[in-house]
Amino acid sequence: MKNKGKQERNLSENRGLAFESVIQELRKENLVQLFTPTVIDFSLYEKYVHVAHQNQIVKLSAPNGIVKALRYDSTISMIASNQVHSDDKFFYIEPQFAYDFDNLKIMETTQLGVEFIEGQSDHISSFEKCILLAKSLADLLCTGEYQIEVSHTDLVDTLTRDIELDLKSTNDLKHYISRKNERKVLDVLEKNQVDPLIQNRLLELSRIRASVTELTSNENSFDFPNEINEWLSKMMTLNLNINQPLVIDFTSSYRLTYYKGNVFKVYDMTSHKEIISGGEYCFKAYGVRGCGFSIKL
Amino acid sequence: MLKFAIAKGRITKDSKELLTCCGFDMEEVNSSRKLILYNADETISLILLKAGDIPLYVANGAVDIGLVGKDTVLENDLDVYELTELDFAKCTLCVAGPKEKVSLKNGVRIATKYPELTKKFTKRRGIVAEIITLSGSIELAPLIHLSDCIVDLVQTGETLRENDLIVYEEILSIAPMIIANKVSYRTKSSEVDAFINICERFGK
Repeated sequence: MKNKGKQERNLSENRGLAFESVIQELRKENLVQLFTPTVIDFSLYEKYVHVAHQNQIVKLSAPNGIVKALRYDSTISMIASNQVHSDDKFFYIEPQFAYDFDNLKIMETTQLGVEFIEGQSDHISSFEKCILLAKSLADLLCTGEYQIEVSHTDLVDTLTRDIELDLKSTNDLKHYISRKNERKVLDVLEKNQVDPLIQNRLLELSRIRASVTELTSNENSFDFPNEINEWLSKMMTLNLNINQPLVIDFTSSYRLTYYKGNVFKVYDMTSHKEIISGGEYCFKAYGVRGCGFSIKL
Repeated sequence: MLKFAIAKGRITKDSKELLTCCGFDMEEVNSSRKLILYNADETISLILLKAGDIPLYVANGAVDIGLVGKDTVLENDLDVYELTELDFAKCTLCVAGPKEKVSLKNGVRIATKYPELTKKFTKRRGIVAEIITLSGSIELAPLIHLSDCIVDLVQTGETLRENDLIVYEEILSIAPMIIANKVSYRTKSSEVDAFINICERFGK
């Protein structure tokens, strides 16, 4: 019992130290910290919340009659809040609950979000800034090897674009590709009498998980569509600029549906955890484009 | 070490060849009250769980891979990879009910352990149904008029026959599935691949 208590304190102290070193690194990079909770116009927020959950939102009435909603942090509310527009790179801290199976309890963990908001700069430069910063934070957080995986939200569409299917079959195909369920992928393709050569090519491409160096080398035998070759070429440039091998997964799926464009994850190969996850986004409703990531600490 | 979750009961019995090939002592698996067991070279730990909990443990990374029925995976719909299906212990998710066939129309009452799958089925059929969620003895529901019919797994059909029920419609074929945590799939890729190769050899 005593040892378990000591282990819990060590874990908590290590987590605390990691958290502090990350905050210091972010301040060194001149990121501004924004504080939670935030207050957002309810009219901007309600379209992102299911109508069944809207009565759970804490609402406030401003003196001018406008209804405001109180929220813990999120990428959408941070971007929409007034504080955002004066800074183009910032971070914020958001508590969330997670299961700690090692210690057999539910615990409140801290997620730290980082955002780079773009002005007129080239789209790729924010992604490169994000990955560079994520790499320096991974150096602080990981005791051993880590892996940076990149993908793009349009890759699965590109891979399946030339296969003529009805809407339901297309959605089923993309769903099974994202679940890596090859048997069901084949079922959908066979049911729609897709040419076996095309079936095999799609399966081969969806299985790819390799370094960008391998995929862009002359020995590579894959026949990629042009858009994928162009994207791989950009990723190779990024690979060289950040001096870190990048792993490509064509079918990596991301649960946050607001990502649009390049996405990435960092995996700690020692603890077998995903430690950083992020990507590019574009919120047309707010006229905001940027790149961000979150770290579970 | 690869953490592999399996449910005690029918699946474990059918998986004994697979588990033996992985180096587990089946006598220990069947007789021990331990919930975590190790294979001979301690490269795989076997975690015995309630079937319905396996997808949650896998999705959260508490275990790396799990062997669980496709019905449970689809019902929970958690964020996992579905790496392969095995060719034993197959059954079918069916609509079943009394021999005097009940028509599946608006207002039909359906008892089931699978409310999400049943909802998807009724939505596909364009039926507005009352779905009654039970945890067991589903066949009893239409017999004592709790429901008009049921959605449940059928293997040989023996339980249905003994209770004077018949299959109205097959919804989905079900088999044991190997699911993987998305992070483990990447960080323990060689162990996961090796395990899948063993499963596919013994599952066929």
